[in-house]
Amino acid sequence: MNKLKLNSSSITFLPIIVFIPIAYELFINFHIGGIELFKEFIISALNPKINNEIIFTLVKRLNETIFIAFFSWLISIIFGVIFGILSSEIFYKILNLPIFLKRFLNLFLTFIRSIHEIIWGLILMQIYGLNFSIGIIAICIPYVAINAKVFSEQIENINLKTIESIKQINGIKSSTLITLVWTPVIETFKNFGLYRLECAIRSTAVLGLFGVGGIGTSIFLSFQTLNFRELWTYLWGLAILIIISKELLKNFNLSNISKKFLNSFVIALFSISIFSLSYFVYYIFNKNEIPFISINNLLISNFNFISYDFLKLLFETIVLYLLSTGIAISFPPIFILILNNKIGITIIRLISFLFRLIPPPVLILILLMFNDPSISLAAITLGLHNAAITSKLLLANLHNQDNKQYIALKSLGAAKRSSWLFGLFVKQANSYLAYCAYRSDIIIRETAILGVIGSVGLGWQLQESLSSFAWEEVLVILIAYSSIAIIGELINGKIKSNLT
Amino acid sequence: MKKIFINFKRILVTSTIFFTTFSSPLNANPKVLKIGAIPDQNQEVLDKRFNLFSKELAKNLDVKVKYIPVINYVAAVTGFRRNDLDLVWFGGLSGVQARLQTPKAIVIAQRDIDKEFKSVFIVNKKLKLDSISNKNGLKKLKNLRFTFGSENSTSGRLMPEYFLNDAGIKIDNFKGKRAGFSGSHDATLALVNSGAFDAGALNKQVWENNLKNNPKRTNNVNLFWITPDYVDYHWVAQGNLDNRFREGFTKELKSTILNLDIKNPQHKKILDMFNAKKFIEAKSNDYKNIELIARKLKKIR
Repeated sequence: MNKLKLNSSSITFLPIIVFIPIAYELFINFHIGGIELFKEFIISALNPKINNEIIFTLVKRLNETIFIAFFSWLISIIFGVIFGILSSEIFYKILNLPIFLKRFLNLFLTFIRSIHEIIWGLILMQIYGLNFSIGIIAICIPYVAINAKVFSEQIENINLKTIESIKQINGIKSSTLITLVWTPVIETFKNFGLYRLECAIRSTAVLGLFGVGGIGTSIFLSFQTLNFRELWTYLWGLAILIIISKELLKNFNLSNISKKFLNSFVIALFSISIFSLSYFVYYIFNKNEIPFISINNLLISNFNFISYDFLKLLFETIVLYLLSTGIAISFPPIFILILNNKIGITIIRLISFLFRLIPPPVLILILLMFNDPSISLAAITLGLHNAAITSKLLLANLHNQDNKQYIALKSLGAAKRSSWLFGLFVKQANSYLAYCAYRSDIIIRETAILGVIGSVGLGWQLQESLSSFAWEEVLVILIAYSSIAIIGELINGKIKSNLT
Repeated sequence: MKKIFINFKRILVTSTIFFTTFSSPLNANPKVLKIGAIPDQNQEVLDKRFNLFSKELAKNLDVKVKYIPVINYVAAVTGFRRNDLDLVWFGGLSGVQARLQTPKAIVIAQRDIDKEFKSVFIVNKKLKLDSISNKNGLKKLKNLRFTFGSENSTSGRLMPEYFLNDAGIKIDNFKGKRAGFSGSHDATLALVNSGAFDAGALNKQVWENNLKNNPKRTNNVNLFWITPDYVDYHWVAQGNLDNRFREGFTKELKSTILNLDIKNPQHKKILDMFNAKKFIEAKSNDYKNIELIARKLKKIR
């Protein structure tokens, strides 16, 4: 790299500059006040509390987690495929439907996607009360939309000429559609759908932090009282769950999808719809109370929201987003580059697993032991958590790629690091960036949950408004979130289409 | 391979049916008295306290009683509004919030100590701050890292913030222009004790309990100031219990709670866990002042 050219591999390294302001702010805010607590936290990791009672609770909570995660994953995949097909151009081309329907559907999906599952959870809790199933619904809403987007993007890749030629044969439209979509759907399911289960488990854990049940509830309750040994019992439990589910799915061969499997899908779909319908009917007839008590106030309320320095909060949220995205993009390649040997990679894998495992709200509370609350602190937390996720993907892709070029470069006498950079990483840079663009959509949403605890940005105000039951403020904040997320998604979409 | 799929199918179908039936709303039993409480302390303590209390109620009232733990103050208020909880141990602020949202709710009782409840301000010993005698001394907390308890806690946030404001200190005056929200009284104590925060405010009851039973957590903390008194915790019940259980049920419930007697060893256990000598009558009017303060601090709008 004699000259720094702006290509996709240098772009992946460039965002590291956000670390300069972050490091500066973290440095001036640093204090060693919490060192004792932190020591306790680390020691407890190796010495979790184990007795009959806690194991019993752990198993119960894990069961709840599996339940919520599995069902929300299943539902969101099924409906994700359905909506994915409905929002792809091919569907409208084959059935000769007007295209504005697609735009309308896309807009709707973008909106529900733009709000984090936790916020859906908090809102649903206001409507349905303390109910176990709101966890599932809360995760499903944004997940369906996210899955729909991914599936429809893959379906869009089908060659339009194939459609034309099939159309000319005059086959039955629906079967044409299914034949066409089948392969990309199954492929995407293999590459992406299975990974979503892990996401669902993690989401369930975070959702529990806000009172929906599952392992997150225990994690948060034990953390809230700084009972670290108990906390680690639950965290390791969650870790085991994630590892087991991953191993199970790895051995799950999808090429043999049979009719029976399809049948069971249909049955599942059917009972789930019945189930949700029964709920709907129940609530309509049994609780004929207006869900938001102040829904009337909402309409007549005088918007005195400007007093909350709304613009400042908005600005903070955007800064938080940019900083943490910078970290999430640039940290993985840099660390892999620096620690480019077997031990180094193993260390990276281990640390990133820990950062994925510990829910961001807990992570920020730990970091708060050493630092005053600030945007940088929230940004580094969110950034590290997401870097752990992007690094996992990057490592997996690098591992799967053939390394002929790398070996060739190395045998030519190039240094190990530069041959890694030019032999291996360069090929991955594009797809890595594309994935990061997708990830940054998620980061926007996640700023909400961190703000709650790091007391920055809109997230903090959201919590404050929710706990004061000030619905008009909640509404304004949600609209603000939604618009940031939608704008972000539009920009990311442009970036992505430039990359491919 | 086929076998796995058949198994998978079976698992899928059975679990779906299981899920559908068990989570069906028709399954909910309306004859269970559901008790809740704001999670202001260690969950273990709360579990023990309210399970014991539930047993006593069940024995006296001859109904099924179930304690449902909730994760935060908002959830407790919401659960009460949505009829998911019948009888809830609220703080001053959360109780007022809940009653404003559930107009028919009834105040059942409070503890003897709730009539004149207090908060304490604590500081880390390293700061070498002497305790103060009146609220004006609170100015010494300027530019320190300060933490409250939960956002909606009366003794951990509302009243301390009120007294701070009274002394001319705003949240902006703390370090970083923010105050932390530790989530619970125990956490506030632990965070200040460790030095993660310089100072904090918490429930006097929790402070005294820890002084007595948990010296490790109070080693590095000095008492800074004890606030004047105000009313706090109270039991709030739904207004429709008579319809749901039987005529006069609310009255029976109330007298069961009020009749807990410290001379009875079984009752003493419960009262000890509540840090009280007895429960006393309470009226919703007692909490007017809390409501006013909450409105001033925009916790109620």
